[in-house]
Amino acid sequence: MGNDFKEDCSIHRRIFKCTDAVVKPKYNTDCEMWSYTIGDKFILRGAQGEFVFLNLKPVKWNWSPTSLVEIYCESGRYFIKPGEGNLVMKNGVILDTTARRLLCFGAELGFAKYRNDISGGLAMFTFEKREYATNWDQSRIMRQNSGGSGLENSAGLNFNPGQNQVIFSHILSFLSMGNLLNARLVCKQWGDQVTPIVRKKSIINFASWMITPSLRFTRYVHEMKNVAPWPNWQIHCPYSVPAQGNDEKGQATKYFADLNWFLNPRWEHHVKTLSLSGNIHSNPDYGVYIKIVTLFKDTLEELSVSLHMQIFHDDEHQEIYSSKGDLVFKNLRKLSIYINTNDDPRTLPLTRAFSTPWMKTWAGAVKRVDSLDVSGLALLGSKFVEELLKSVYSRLQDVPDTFRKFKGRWKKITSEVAKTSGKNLMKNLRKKIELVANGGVAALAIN
Amino acid sequence: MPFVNLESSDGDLVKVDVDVIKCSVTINALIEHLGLEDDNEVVPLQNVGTETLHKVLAWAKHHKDDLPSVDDDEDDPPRERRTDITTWDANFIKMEQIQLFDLILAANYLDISGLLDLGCKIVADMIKGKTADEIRTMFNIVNDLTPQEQEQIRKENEWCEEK
Repeated sequence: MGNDFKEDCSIHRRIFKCTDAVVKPKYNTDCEMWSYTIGDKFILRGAQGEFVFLNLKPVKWNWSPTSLVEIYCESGRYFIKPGEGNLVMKNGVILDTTARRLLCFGAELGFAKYRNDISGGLAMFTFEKREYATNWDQSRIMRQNSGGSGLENSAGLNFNPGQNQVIFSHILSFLSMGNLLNARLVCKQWGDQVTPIVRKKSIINFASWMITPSLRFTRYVHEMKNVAPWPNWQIHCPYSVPAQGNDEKGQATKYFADLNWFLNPRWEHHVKTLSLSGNIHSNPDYGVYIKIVTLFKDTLEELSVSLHMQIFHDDEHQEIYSSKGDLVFKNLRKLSIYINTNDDPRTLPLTRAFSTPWMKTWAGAVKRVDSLDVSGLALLGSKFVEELLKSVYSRLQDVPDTFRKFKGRWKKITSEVAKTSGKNLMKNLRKKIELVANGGVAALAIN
Repeated sequence: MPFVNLESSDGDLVKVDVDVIKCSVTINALIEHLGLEDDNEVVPLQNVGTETLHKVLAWAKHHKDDLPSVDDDEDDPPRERRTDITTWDANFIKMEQIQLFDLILAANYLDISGLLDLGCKIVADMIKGKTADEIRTMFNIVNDLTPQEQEQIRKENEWCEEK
């Protein structure tokens, strides 16, 4: 799908540039919603086109399912296709959910709405060409009010906190995120100074459950690209990679196809901080995690990964996760790794042997970090620390140069280690920990 | 050398106890750099008017026995910047916006971190909870963003969650 799309998007934009459009609520249909502009910044998406989204916040009606409608933008024209199970009318005619229809400006759209599963009639919208209100009048009023002189200080300067960059950044440091977001909208100068701070302090959350999860990816491209990259992301994989016959509605297939499209390097994401979570039921699920972090290996500075893994299946066979390849991060300074299992801890007795060779991959990623935090199920945490110390210890012993390289690198290491892991393991670990500590680790806390 | 003469941009001389003005990194550096040794030496402050200088000295006198601030430990998790203001400071800083602006500029020029913090906190408080329109009105700023640019910023803002 998206991967096959080779053509230059900028050329498409030039040739097929769509007029901005907006979906507006009609009459008083009690449908509070946000409307999204489309056209100016859209990027064509091969055969699938581009989505436009109706975000139903605050949720007043229990729309079902949540993927209400998809409006595609392709070759300079708009198309509409209702989400499965949704009743959507265009100019009074119910639309087929299996086919897309051309959507022209002026079209009247109706959506069935429900409250407590009882029909609440139709919410009506019109699809319109986007008209921007001019801000000329507003600017003129502001100038008139200022009388051309404004408030001036003794040096003849207007009182504008944005005039001195050092002072302004100091003022901004006392503002919360909400206030910073408002400050971006004051004027260009404020926007230029506030935006880098907002970019640094905020996180882009792709873990929304309110709408079809993968719509977040397309919305992001639609709304956030063409501007400088946003460096802090949070991704939660809501599905497992579909195996045969377990994805009847195709939701998981669509999610992973969209994720694959979204992660394509052509979007030039520049992710510095990543929080990654979800449930891992099989090696293909795990592969998604590895793929995501690998894609950002050159830019990541902080990584928080939650590995919630299935170890044994119902038929008691152990899932084997890939241990191939190393994770080498160029700039990673901070790694938080949470390891837990989907298995019932009561049915995961310590005597039941299982191996975790995949942990080597993550232990290898620790090489250059300043801060490491290991948490989760103590049994798995201790296995990880054991793996970590084993690989570090062997390197320290075998390669003296590496020893010096490690010295003083880690400022802080914390970990939960199973107290029930057995005396020998603890004894062994302590022995190794002492060696590592002598090699320069400032603090290694075993809780 | 217990005293030093500060010359404001208006040409007025103000004699001040060195101990009071030690909070100013700039003046300390000037004293050291100029090698001032007696009470008649003058430190020129071309960017600070007389009225503002008196306010700066009033603040410095009140805070002369304050303990120096301690830098945050790099290893500690980032904390919200403290925004509490003492009653004395709150009364002191009650002034017209223009005077406040002068005071902040002076604190910045004289490199007095405590006073700069106070002034900036007050301006931040003025901004807090206000819409972009209200901020523009308060500071007499003309909106030079096009509707399209505002729309783009609003879209981006919707994505931003506190880290």
